[in-house]
Amino acid sequence: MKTKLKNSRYLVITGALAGLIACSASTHSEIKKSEDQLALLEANPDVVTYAPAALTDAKDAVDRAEENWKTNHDGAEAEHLTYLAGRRMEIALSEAAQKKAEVETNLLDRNRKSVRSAAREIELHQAHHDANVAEARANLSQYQVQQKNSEIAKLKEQLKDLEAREIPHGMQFTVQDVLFDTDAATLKPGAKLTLAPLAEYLKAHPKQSVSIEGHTDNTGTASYNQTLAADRALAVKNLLVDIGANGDRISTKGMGESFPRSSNDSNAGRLQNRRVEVIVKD
Amino acid sequence: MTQAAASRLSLTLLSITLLTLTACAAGVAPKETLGAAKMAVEEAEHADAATYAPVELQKARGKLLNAEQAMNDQKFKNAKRFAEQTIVDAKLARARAQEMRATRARLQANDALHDVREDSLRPLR
Repeated sequence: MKTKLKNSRYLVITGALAGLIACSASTHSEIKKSEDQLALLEANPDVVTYAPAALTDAKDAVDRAEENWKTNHDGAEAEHLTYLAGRRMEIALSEAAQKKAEVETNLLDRNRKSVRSAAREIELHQAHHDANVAEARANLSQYQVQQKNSEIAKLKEQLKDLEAREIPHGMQFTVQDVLFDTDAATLKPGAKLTLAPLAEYLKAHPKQSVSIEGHTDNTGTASYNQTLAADRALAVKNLLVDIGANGDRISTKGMGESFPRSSNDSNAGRLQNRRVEVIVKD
Repeated sequence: MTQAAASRLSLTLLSITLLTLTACAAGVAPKETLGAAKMAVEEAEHADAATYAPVELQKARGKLLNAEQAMNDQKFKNAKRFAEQTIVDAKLARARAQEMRATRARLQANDALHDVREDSLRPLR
């Protein structure tokens, strides 16, 4: 009986101790939870980088809860202080997210500006390039015009013996009567020398179209003059082809007496009318 | 000093000590903490917490009411706790509102960058 009583007394004491331990363990577990959360927070690089002050506040709050529990073992106070600590940690997380978003927004804005200025620069380069191309084209066409003009000048120089005239769509050269035998369609030997530059020019420009027209004065019958004119035009063509011009591009025509250049009333006028005209078309 | 006088003096001393102890137990009115709590709620409201963090703000306002009630009831310890909780609740509301706004700004900046890329680089593709 005595031992039984002793045993029951032990039971009561053990039960009381167990109750105390359970109570202390439950509150302590709240603080333990705060410590675990704090460890996570301290390992979070965003929080460390962007919210160091808030992290310190959170740490202080957890420390305070811990200290208070160790000295006072006040359950209600521990609950209150862990609540504060939990909020402090949430604030730190939120602040970190906010600061990070702000930094990233700045980066995005800067990126946008640099993309825009790069695009503008590319546009400028493009415009500059276009201008250069246009200028080069203008220069080229100007050069081509000059080239053409100098060729014409050269041709004129070469053909000065031929009495050259500019006509709306090309050049016209007159082969004078004096180069022909009288009343005949044969050219004198000197004609070859006179026509050589024209032949050289046509040789160098094989695609150049040429038309040769024969003209006479009004002495003799019209049909005779027509035939003579055609034959003389053909003689000039043959000589040009002999020297090297492309015959496919040369057409001949007998114009007869119908297109006098001067009056047929005088010798001088009639001399001017007896001629072969070589028209070099543009 | 007579025995009676001495006993009277000790009685007086004892009552003074008891009174002081009682005052200590009742605590001091946490006026400063309550003021800080009110200011924290105002700051949260100023940061548009009503729009961006309404739940957190509501919680802070509720705690502030509790703190004021406890103050009226002379329950200073409770009042202080409620006021302290009001402060962290309000600060969280403010932080969440600012976070929300910053997040939204980042989204807009991202969209703007995307648009600029599309617009200015399209002719080059």
